[in-house]
Amino acid sequence: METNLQTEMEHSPQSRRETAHHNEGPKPHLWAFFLSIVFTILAFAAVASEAVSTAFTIPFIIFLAVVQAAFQLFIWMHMNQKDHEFPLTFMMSGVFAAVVTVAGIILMIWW
Amino acid sequence: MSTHVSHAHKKKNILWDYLTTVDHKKIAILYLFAGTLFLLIGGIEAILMRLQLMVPENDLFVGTTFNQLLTMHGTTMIFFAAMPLVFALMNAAIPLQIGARDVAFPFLNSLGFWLFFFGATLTNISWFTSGGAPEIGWTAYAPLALPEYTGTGSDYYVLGLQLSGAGTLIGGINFLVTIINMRAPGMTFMRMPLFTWTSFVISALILFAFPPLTVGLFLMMFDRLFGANFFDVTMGGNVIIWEHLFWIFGHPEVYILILPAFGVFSEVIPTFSKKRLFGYHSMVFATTLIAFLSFMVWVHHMFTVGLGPVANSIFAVATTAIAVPTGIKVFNWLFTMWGGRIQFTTANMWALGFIPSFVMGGVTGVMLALPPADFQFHDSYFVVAHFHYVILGGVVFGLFAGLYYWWPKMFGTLLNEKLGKLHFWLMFIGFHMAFLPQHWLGLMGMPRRVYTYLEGQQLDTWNYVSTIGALIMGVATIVFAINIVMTFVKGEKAPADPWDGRTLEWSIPSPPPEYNFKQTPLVKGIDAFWIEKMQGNKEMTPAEPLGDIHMPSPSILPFIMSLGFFIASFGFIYHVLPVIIIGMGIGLGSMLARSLKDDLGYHIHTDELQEKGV
Amino acid sequence: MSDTHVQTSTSLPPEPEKATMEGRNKFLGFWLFLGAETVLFASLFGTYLGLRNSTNGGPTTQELFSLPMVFVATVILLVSSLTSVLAIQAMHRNNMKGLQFWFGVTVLLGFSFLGLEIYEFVEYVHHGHTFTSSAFGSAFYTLVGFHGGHVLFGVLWILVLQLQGIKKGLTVVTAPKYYVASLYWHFVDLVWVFIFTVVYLMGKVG
Repeated sequence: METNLQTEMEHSPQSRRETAHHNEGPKPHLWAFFLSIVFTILAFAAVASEAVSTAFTIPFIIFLAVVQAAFQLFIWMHMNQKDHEFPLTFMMSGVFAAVVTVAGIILMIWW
Repeated sequence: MSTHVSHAHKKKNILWDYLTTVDHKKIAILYLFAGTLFLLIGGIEAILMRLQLMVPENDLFVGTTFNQLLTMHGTTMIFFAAMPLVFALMNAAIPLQIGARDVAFPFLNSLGFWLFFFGATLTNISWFTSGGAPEIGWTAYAPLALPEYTGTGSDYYVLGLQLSGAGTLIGGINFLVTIINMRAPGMTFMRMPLFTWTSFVISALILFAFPPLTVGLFLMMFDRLFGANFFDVTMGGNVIIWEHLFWIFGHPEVYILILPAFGVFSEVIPTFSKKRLFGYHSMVFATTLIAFLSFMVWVHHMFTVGLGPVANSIFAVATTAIAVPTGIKVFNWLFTMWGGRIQFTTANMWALGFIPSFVMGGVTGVMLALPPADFQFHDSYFVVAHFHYVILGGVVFGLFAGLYYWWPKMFGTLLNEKLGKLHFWLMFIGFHMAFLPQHWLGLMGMPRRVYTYLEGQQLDTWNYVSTIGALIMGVATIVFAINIVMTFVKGEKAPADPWDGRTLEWSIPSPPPEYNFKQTPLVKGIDAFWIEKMQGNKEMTPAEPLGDIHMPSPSILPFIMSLGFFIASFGFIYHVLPVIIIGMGIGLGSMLARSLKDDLGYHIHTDELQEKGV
Repeated sequence: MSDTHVQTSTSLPPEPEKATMEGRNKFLGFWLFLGAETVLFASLFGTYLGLRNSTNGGPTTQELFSLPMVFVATVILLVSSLTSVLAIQAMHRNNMKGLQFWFGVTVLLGFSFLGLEIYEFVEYVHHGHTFTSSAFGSAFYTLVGFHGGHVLFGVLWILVLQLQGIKKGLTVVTAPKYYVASLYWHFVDLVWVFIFTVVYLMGKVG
């Protein structure tokens, strides 16, 4: 009986008060948005500019894309917050499968 | 809140009841019967092939017909028989094992079934069309599967698998959420029965392995129907991409099939050894390790493609590594039996027969994982023997063990044990007779997928023996069918706990009421029901007071939605735009209807629960 | 509901999308679906990267792509990501008007992205780069088209939810729907980040 009550408590709105983001303002989102725009500009600039070498550009823009993706997942989709343990686990497993798939296919085709 | 009472749902006729059901126990029965139907079809195809190969230079089924038989046998058995039968057991057992009233998404559960059913039906309808059944092997390699070489049969393959694959993905997500969110109080992850654990892991594999198949099938569909050039070498395409995508899916797929069977054995062996499972934690660890490795081994199906020694070596090492967790499991089962009071029930006979059979398949698997050896074995009957040893000796034995074990829970009647043992022995002898000789045939150079062989090449005897074995398996299946029919006609009524079980499903009546648990049970450890028994209790300790139970309403929408996509598939195959529009309209319209109309469900009230008694 | 921190007139809990079992199931199930989508797009990216130089004599990536247009499309989607998160924040304040407004902006941005994409495709076809002209063409239109299809499905889905919202209002039944639709929209934007990087920018670099 007690255990059940405890689980009920865990899922009750009261216990979420501290973490609930209804109090959280738009600030982190505006920051993420601003940085995403900056990163996008950087990526386009790196490609458009003649001065930057190809060997640098490709890893650089891929890095920027990964950071932007992290913004989407962790800030806009709240993946780092409470109640997101399983989403986090499964998205990371998905990313693992995705990386193996892409790397496997392209390495074996380009060879 | 509730607008209906449960009485409203009881007077419907049985067909309508099953078309609209969202109850996991009834969906399990649907999966079981659909899966069995396709198992019979696939089995007949196998026997026809074996009859052709019984004697040299036979002319029973030659050329295209033989190719169609082998394609449809493989496709049907993997996608339309083994997968649904696994889902049948998962639907029947998982909610009960974790102490839940239903799955997380009852509506999607039904949708998953109907998508699978219409997909499987679509592919099998190809037999009756002018283009005939697909003749491209179950792997449908390009360029053979391109429109230059094969007709509409290949389209039926692509669209049928696309439909049923969508159903499987939905089912996988449903079981993941069910197991994560719906466990009874106290049922922590490390207290879950092992069948639930392996089902959880394979649902995750489905989640990540089916999308590459979906993409591969889309690319093939675009090439075949809309003139794309993914696999057309003359336009810059690359046929190897299909092989990669197919096997990135295909290898996890074989673990998706075998791991639930491992789960069944991990339930059956402790129950009938009267001992708790040896090495529970290592079993869980081994299962997840196998799942993890399964995404890094697909190239062992492609060693002879010529990807180079580096790629082949990496994947050879990863593949052989899988033998380690699998070995852990085999030893755990043996140690569970060690010193136990072993009961030779039919379910346990399948488990006992499985261990040596599967180990033989595993050993040939390690042989095939070594590229230099694989260059010799590739595309020979040695490979055919290997994968039938693991799939038949592993998956099918597991499914039968699970069926004999859970049948009383599913139907409330006991399968006849005498006929069950006859079924087992015929199957066991037939199986080894059919496939053991195929190892020698392969080593003597007989290629797979070829419809005949010449006399006097020392292939005659073993092919003959192999066919006899296949026929004995056919007889075994007839015995099984008789057993099922007899059980339905005058089956012995099953008690709630016929096997002196250890897990939650045996703590409730057989068959369980629609709400499963009148009161959600409180779980105190691994083998929750056994713990209560040891403490002298006849029932589980409830975790909640008796209260109204909320149930989801039945719905015909999953059936209509799947029917819509089924109809649209014909439009795609025969390039008829109106049919595509009508079909997609029905499918998408049903989705819209589902979104707009809230499902309020209905309540079963406390007084009704008390009326029904236990 | 003795929660004094809920300052709104109705008794909607602070995170209405996770207030019911159905809501929590939907939330988790949708995240898992996004995990599957990750692998789906990875397979498409792998295919594209394998085939992107198989132009069959047609125009190459360097000749085709125009960076200013892609930049505009990227900004549109980034802004729509922000507006969809503002919609969810409005939902958490139990502000249905705000939710409808910000989702409305998201839908408009989604449609303008689609308009731009269609214009772009028409342009390419005039340059002889079609779905059937080469393996590169097939792979390009399939990858970018799958993303475009996701955008289309997303705007239609959000529109349907907005229409429902007029009648049903914000409840523990509708809230999870808005929440997962917004998750979907973010994910579609995330995929675009990789498309503009891997397809367009890397295509320009060569």
